[in-house]
Amino acid sequence: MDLTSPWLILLLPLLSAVVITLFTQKSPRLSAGISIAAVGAAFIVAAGHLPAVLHGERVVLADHVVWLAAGGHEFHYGYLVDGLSMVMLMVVCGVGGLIHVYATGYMHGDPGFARFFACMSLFMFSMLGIVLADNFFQIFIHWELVGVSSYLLIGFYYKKDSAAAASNKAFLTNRVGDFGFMLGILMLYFATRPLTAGAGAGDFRAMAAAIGSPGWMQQAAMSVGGGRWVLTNEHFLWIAGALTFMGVMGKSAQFPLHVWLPDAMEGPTPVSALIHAATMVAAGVFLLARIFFVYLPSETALTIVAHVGAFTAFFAATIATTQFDIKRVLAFSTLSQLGYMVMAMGLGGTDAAMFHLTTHAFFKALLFLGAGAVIHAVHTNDIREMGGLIRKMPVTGWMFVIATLALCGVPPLSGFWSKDGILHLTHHPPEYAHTFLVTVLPTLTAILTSYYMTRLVLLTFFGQPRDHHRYEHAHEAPANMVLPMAVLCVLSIVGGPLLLGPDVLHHFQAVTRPAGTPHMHYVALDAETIRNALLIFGTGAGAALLAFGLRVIDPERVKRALGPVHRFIDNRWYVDELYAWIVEHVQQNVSRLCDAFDRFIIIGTFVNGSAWTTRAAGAAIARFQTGSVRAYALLFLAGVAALLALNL
Amino acid sequence: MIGLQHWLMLSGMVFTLGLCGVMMRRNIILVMMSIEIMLNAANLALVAFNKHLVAAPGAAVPPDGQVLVFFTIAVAAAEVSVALVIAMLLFRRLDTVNVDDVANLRW
Repeated sequence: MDLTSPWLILLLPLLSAVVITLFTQKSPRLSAGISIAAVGAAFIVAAGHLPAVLHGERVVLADHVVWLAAGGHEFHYGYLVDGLSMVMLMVVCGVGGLIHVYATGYMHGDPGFARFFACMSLFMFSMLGIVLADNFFQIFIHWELVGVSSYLLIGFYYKKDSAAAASNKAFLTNRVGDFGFMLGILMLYFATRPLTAGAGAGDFRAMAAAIGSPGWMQQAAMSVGGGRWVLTNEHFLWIAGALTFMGVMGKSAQFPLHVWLPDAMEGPTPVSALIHAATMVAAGVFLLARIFFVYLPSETALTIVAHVGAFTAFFAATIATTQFDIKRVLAFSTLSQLGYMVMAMGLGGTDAAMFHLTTHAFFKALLFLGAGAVIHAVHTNDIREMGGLIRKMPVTGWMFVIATLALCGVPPLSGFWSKDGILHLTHHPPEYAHTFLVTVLPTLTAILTSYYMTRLVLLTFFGQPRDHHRYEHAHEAPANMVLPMAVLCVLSIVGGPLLLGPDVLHHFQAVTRPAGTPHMHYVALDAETIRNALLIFGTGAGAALLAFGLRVIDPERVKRALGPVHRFIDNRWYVDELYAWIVEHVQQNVSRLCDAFDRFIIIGTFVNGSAWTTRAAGAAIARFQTGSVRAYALLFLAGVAALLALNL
Repeated sequence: MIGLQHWLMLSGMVFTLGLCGVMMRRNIILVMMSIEIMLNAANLALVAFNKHLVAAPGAAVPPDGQVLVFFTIAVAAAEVSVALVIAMLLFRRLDTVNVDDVANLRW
């Protein structure tokens, strides 16, 4: 087999998962080695194709096998390596590989060590399948596989009730989104089918060409529905787009399907870093970029995407300001940043979104790994019991600070470039997005981001230790945890144009930007942009410093002053309560109705009714079975007589 | 002159005699004999019909009725042999030939 084949990227992690599950469960070291080797090899193979992408080729490699052919439908399983998937390959394999190494330290001594790495490999296979997929159906299969492996990893500590519940919640919430996703796929597939003859079912490139061609809807309608389609081009596309977007809302945890992500923090911290910060939740953003041809012709769809993203960004940022669980703050921060990316997609900035996805993967993974190191050291998630840890674990602490600055968009760190790219989009939005949500809230969100991240850093690493027992036992993380963090730290600093250079960035733009969308105007390092970025950071960080660093403002008094507003935010806008209420009062009642219908109509009337009728008829007729031969003879005579009477 | 209707009346009377025997008798042997009587009544009717059959001009009268009687007799003989075995086993098992005592196959 060709050692540069992208099939290897896909199959090595799968092979690793199978081998660990079947053969090496007994040996933790070997299992971890196999898993890391698989990711590393995948990364090397992927990196081998990087030069071609950087030279600006739109499609580098594509191949497929026919997976299923039935009734005129031909489903393919293949790969498509272009600029977009290359960005994701680098992020998934690179960041994923580092997190694998980190996990050998974090999970050390865990009884489920080998199982953990088997699940991680399965996840890598699923995720890489999404990245490399060349058609809708393959991406859907891997979409679900990612859901399964995420379920396994969130519920890794399955003996804990909260972890088991969280994994169920994540899976079920995703099912809601995936249902819409599936409907969207089917709509798009059947509409474009006559125009994509010869290509596999749901092939991205064929569909993009079909939807891009003039009058495609008329052609599709004539051959599918005999001209009886009621939906016009515009309505069809936005409905299909919105349905497909439901899948994105599930995986990328956009409001109102965001509820699973904070709970998913029940999983081990490397899982939070890999799946719920760097890769899986980015799958939704990646999908939007991959199928942007669906959204591009429809302003309605783009409006929905932009506003859902903008709202999620703000909504999650407000909640993050009130949380006391270190991982939950980061989880809500992730929600908020994903909102930014989705909003950027809605504003037509696919390259801005993908750029932010990449830098966010670096610094958010670092933040989670840092949080993991802290949790590893003090054995609690509650930042109220931390404080002053920078003296005990300086390396982790300062790297955490750098990642925080990157997340807050302080120049010249990586986050500054990508975030200001998105903020720039919101300052010059397209016609359909001249709304408060898109033009004002993202800037406000950036201020909130600086506030809650500074608060988190101050409460965790600075000030006086609030729990001396935990503080005394804190220690710096081992080398196999610090090293991956150091690599991510370097990437968080130089992940912008400092690493890639202005020319490379141009290529990056060219390959991830669909035809017809505006060029992203990347921030130049001029004085005004830097001043604005620092102003945003300064406002948020200053407020946090006054409250939690210098103690000029008493947070408790602010809480009391805000009263109901604080309660509302602290309870996460009562979304979970709303869902609980809906389940209890709406869904339960509907279920009772269905149950009653089933009990009385289906079972009572039809099933048991037919049985009773048969039994009663049998009981009546059985009376004739007297056992007396002479009675039978008499009946026989009567029968014959009756027949004769009828015939004569 | 004895015509068809006389034969049929005789046949009807014999049949009714057999029927009454089947309905009224309790001894299984007698019930079976009554059934045989009913069969013979039918045979008598068949022979009588054949005798008075009017053939097509110039053709011999086909002996269908007579032949059918032979079949009936053969089948009746076979039936009686089975029935007698049943009666014999019944007597051995239950020590009775009264059909009213044999009413186990019922609801």
